[in-house]
Amino acid sequence: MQLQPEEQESSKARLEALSRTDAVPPVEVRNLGIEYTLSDRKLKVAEDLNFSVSYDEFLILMAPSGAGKSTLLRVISGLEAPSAGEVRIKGKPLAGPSEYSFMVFQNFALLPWKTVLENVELGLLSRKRLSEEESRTRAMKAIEKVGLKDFAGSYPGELSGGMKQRVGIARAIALEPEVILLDEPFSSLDAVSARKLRSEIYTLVISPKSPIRVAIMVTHSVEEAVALADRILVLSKSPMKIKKEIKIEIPRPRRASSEKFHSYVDEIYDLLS
Amino acid sequence: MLSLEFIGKLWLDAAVSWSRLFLALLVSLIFSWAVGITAARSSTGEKIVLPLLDILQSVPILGFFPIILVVFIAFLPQQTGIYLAVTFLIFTSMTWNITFAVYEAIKSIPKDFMQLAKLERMGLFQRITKLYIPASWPKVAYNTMVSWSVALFYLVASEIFSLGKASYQVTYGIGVDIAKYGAAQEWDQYAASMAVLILMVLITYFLFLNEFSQWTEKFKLGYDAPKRNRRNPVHRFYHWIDFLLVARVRSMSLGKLFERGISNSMAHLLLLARWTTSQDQSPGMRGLANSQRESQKGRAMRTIEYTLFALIAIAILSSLALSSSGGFARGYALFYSDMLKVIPSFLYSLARIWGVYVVTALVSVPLGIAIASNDRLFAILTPALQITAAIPAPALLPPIAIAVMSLPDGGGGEANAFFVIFLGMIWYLIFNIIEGVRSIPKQIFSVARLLDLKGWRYWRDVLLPAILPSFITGSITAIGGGWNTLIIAEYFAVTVSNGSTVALTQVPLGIGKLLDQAAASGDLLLLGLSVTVMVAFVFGFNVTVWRRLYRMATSRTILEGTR
Repeated sequence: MQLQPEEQESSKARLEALSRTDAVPPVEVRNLGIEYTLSDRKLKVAEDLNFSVSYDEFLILMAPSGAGKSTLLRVISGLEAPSAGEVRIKGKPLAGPSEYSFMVFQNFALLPWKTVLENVELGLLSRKRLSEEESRTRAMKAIEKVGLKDFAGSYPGELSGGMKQRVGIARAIALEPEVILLDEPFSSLDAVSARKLRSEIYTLVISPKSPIRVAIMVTHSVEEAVALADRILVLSKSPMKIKKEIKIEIPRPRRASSEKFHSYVDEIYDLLS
Repeated sequence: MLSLEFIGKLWLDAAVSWSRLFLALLVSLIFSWAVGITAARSSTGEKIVLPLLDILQSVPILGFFPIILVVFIAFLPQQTGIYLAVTFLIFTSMTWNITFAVYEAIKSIPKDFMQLAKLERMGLFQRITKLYIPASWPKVAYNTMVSWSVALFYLVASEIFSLGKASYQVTYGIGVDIAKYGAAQEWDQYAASMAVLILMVLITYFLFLNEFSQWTEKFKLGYDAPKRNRRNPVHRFYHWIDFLLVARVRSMSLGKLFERGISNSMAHLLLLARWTTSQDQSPGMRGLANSQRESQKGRAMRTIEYTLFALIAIAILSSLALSSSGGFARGYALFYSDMLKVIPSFLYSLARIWGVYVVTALVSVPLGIAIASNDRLFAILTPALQITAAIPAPALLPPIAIAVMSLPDGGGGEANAFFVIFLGMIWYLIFNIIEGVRSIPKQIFSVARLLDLKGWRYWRDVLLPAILPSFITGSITAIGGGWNTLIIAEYFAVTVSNGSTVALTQVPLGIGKLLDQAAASGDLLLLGLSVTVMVAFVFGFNVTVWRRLYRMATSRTILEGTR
């Protein structure tokens, strides 16, 4: 991978950031409970869940399929309310979507009647209340970053799955949220685009130049998690509880062929099965 | 006070009406299998049948009813003629989409099965009974449901229509009762007739149509095959009794029982709504759906075929003109003077339909969105709307006609036409919009919230574009439905006791009214001209405007993901 120097720099910056004594972690999950009402039964998705994420950290949540990882991410985004406990973003308890976070969706969630540029602009105009001109410049910048400069005027329907997800990412980074939430961002892409985007996501999201400071991602691919995460939380199913916390201590860029990589992968597979 | 005898008579009349429906269904099935199999298995058959169905599906069939009546009565004893004319009309309202269903089902039989049939050396008869018919059951059943509700509309409309002309009068039928008691302002009797009609509609749905479609599940081939076995129809028949018994045995609390019952019937009602307002049932929409199938065929080929049909129509019309006047010059003069009546009437009706459509759209868009985006409103109002929608619009004609009768000259007729066309349109729009809002993927709402889209921006950028395809579908079907109501909306006459015909309400000018009057005087040329002009316009509009609009709306607005 050619991104090596930049990444080394970024880990240096991260070390500095970690050594800073930020009193309040950017994301805190406290005694969180999530309940679902299914016909007449109450289903416990999560119970007494506690964790926090620090600045410049890429956290990945893993759980057996159907456990409710995506629901957990929606609760952290403020789209859904928990049944108990709370989520704090920069120390403030959430009540609805936070101005500091944004989500990248599994199925992109682009508006098909708007062009790539208009999709990216939308949040700048409404959420950030920027002028049309300012929004356009910032949106174009984000679109260039994800490599879609020539497609700014295209409609999502004319793009491949990989390109659509790039638009989804551009929309998120244009808003410059401190916290980015990634809900299985690669799982509806074909294998080649998924691999390519996966190799770029870390620098797109967490780089010294990026205003994004925290990434929380949900995935079902163990290899993906080990390749990307600073830390992985393996959760159990019904209700979700933290089974194990694993710090991935492999320097970046990471090689999927290394022995250390394999031992992490095996460990997580054992925990999940 | 209504006597028991009277109630019995109502049920008897309903039974007669339903006998027409079932007879028409039987004929439709036989016709559909014969024609559908021919079209699917022979390329010549395909070339003739497909464009013909395309036209027949897009036209307001009710416009043909007067012609059908006149022709049937000319050749058959009067009562038999009328009975068969009504049945024939219902048949024409039922059969086209079933025929298409058969054609499609056979076309989409997986190759493996066809090869198997070849390997087993099956003859034509064996293929039909062992492969083609079973493979087409599921689609036939679905389309039977759709056809049935169209047929109800035509049944009531034709029974009411015939009331105005002593010589064409249908004697028995629940639609006759509705029109008769309504016109005579005997409201107890009218309400009882309506109740019987609605009960019959619901009973047929639960005991026949629903069961029928469940039963056909097992015939699904390949990927469509259901994963779990359905219980057999006899068991399902006793499902409700069963449910009550089980509830008693398990001594469920009354509240719980009620809750279960409600959620059960809600599920059924949702199906019922989909059934009564399915987009396939309106003439305009049925034509549209087929345009995709047709697209493989060259445009030139289609043009030739349509021209051919047009020539045939012209030939029939001119021979009518010639035979009724005897002589080319006089025939031409007659044609010309008739056209002078037809064109203004048609334009008036066109304006009327679009005027009502605009009002209907203005009412139903905000209403539909409000209902769909509020869960409580949705739960409370949908069942009520669905039951109302299940009533065929023509059945509501008498009270409307009476209510507007007192309005000053012409106003009553317009008001009556307005309400009847409005009722014939609104359900298509409302249910399509509700469905449109409800089917917006959850993540689109999520993204709108995360992007903090509110107020006008939210409507302009998210909500309205998202429901555009449903709105267009609703509009096409609504206007198609509107053309069908014209013949009863513009002119409502009853026969009074001395045998003469009195128009309760009528519009000053309209193609529906013209059709009615031409039928009453037996003027075949005028009838033919009116129908031809209407059909040519409606079909032409479908091909040139609606199809393009529909394609445009769906190409850019299909929402991905449905989580």
